[in-house]
Amino acid sequence: MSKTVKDAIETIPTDEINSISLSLVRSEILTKVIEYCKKHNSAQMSDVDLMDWDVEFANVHYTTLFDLVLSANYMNINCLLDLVCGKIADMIKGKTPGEIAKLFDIKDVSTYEEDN
Amino acid sequence: MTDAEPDIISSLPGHIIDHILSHLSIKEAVRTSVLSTKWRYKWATLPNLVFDSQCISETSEDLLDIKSKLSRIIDHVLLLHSGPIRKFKLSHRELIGVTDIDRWTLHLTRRPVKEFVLEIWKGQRYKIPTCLFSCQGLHHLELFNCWLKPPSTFQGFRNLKSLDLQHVTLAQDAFENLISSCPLLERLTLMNFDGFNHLNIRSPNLQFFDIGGKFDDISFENTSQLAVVSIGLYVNFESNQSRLHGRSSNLVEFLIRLPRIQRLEIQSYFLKYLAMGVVPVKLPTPCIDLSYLSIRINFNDSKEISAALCLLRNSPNLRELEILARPEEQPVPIAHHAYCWEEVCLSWPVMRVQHVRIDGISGIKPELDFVNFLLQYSPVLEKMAVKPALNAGPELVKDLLRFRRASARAEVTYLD
Repeated sequence: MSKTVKDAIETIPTDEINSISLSLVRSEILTKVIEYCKKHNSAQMSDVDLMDWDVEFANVHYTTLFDLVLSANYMNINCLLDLVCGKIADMIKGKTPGEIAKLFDIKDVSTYEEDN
Repeated sequence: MTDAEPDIISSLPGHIIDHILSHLSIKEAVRTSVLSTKWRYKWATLPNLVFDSQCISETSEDLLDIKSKLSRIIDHVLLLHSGPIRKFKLSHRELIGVTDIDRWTLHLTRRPVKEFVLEIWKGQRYKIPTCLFSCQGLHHLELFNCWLKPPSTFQGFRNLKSLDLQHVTLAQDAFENLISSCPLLERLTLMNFDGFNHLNIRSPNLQFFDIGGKFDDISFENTSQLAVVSIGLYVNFESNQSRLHGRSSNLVEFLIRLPRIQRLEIQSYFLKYLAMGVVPVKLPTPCIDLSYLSIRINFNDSKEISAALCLLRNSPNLRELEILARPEEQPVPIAHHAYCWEEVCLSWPVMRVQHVRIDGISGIKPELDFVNFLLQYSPVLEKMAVKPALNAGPELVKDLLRFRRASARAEVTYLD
């Protein structure tokens, strides 16, 4: 599922593989990523159940979401990237710029009025 | 209360921000420009620009106001956007002036855009500006309610993989030239068209073909990659049998050009067209890849039944079958006698069909004979779903129950 890992496996000769370096991913986040990959690779759940599971999985604090999005990007896992980006977008939808800035703790709010 | 670093979101890499913003409407994406100075132009690298009814909040403003607002928004976005534009879609109920669309199209051909979708909801066919025909970066072109008149210098879209034309006007030679000069074309959709009646599809890489409209004839050339085909002939023509006596079958001519076909849908009156000519018992080559077949059939026409059976007989790997009854308003000509089933059953090969769906039958004899036949010759049948026509009587269920089944596992359900 992770293209980064796949590429690493394919380029390093097999008898030299002991560990693959994923230095940019913290252990707590890596645990979550592995949990996601395992769930999506097992054929046990129906599509509908899997979608429900995804919703639950992504129901975390936004800082975790950002860690997940960076990890999914670094490890090149497209479906996880899609899921988390969609979740972050959902948090933005329907909110005024003021509300968005407050939610994500965005500093230096511009007072420039854009004509939409 | 969190002691996390503030404002992480603003430091996310650009393409991730693009990814997040692409889940929002263009309106909300552009609105992020006011979040902070960092966010001023984050939206401007969005690869996909979609302008549809979500664009402007329609708060009971008058038409002219909505039109001019939409125009301003698109002008604004196109002017401030930076980077490549992968997709541009314009589909709004109150569409704007023709000169605006011309201008935007010209701008987009310079970007160059890869996917161009234009839907004109109301009014006359919009004449596509000449500049679009020189946009060689196009991979996907989708037009609704447009008039295409390529210039004489048009040499095709070199990179076009997918073409979707609905409610379009196009001259016969322009149509043929368009199809045959897009060498990479893989998907073609044509719905409700005028200006051309003869469909000659010459396309070496075509894999998906979906068409619904009025035409006189259809032929394929060099289309050995076609895997998914759906054809609906929306006009009930009068077949002149004497003229076609002895002529080779349309069905044979049709299938011989589609050696790798996997999914086939025969809709409206197309089966009647295929049944013209002499329908053979065996095809020159069987359709070994055909696994899904859907047919709209007139059970009162024995020629159509012949054609359907020919398909079934020569598709050894068919798994799913859908039969939709076509009720005819006109009385059937006397020449069409009842279908002779004894000859058919004498040497019928084993069918591997697993799922069958039958829609719109009312219980007339030809329909029952057909269902009976299916049940008797499908030893691995798992499910058959029957949806009756509105005028079907209760005898239909009784008749269905009576039939012997070759497959002990077959589950026959009657959908009210």
